[in-house]
Amino acid sequence: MNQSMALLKEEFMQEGILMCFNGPFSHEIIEELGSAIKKHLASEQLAHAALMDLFAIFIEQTQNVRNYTMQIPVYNQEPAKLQSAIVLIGKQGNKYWVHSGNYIANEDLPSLTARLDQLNSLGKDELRRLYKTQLRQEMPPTSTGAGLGLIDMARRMSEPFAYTSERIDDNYSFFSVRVIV
Amino acid sequence: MDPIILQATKSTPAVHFDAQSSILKISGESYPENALAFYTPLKQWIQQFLGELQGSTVLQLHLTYLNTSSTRFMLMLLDQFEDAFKAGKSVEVCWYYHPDDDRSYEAGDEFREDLTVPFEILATTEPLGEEDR
Repeated sequence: MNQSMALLKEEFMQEGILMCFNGPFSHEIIEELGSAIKKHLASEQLAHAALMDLFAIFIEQTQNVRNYTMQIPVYNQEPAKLQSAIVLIGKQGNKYWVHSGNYIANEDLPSLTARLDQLNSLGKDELRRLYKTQLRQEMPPTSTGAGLGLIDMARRMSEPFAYTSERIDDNYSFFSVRVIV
Repeated sequence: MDPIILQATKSTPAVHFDAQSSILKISGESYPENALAFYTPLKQWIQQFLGELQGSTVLQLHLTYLNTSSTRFMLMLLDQFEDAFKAGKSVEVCWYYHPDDDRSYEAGDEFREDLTVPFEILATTEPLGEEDR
């Protein structure tokens, strides 16, 4: 175990990973990690706006994952497994990023990736207009509010959403997205 | 009307709504697990308060972070002040931000853009919720 821990740490160092949480995202975990981000980065030479962008991206991303995994369709896998997700916070060069991964039902994948592609294609002014329009729209009762959260992240990020999905079986994939401040 | 006095938590702002002294203040960070549950009582209180308002009042906001669902609900509260203003009531909004906090200024400015109610944005170095009025 000691050997593999050293390897894991080495890998984290190489990837620039500063923080990691693996498991179900409770609201308390989101709060604690959010505080940890602010405390950890307060000691770094980081503009306040960049720190708040990182914090905001972390909050929207983890709350999106939590809201989705709390109501993920349950087919052939255990709910406990489906609700377990992962989030990494790291630094690449002088840019910080948040990278989350979670299970997703295959039928939900096309609409999510289409949305991310659409947001990736928009400039900051278009994103601002879209945000304002969406903010004024009534939310359908079943909505988790994820739409607005993705636009907010897109407005704050400096590079396009980088996402991947790995098919697990006929029902599920594992989806991950990295957002760079 | 009973006041609403709430201490801030990590993910919910401090609230000080007191009809008698006509103080309405929200300060801190807002990203609650359930924004609907947090903001609904505030909306109901404001509705009654503005309905009964005879004099003038200022909604004081000093919010360093609002997640997107909190932003929706904040807009709902601001719309109540907008409606009261359009109905001829003497109401205004004051948005405080720390001079180093560009994002908080921008959030206030985006709210202000879509409203006609008097909406002041003021830099302050006072701690959260301790602005002098």
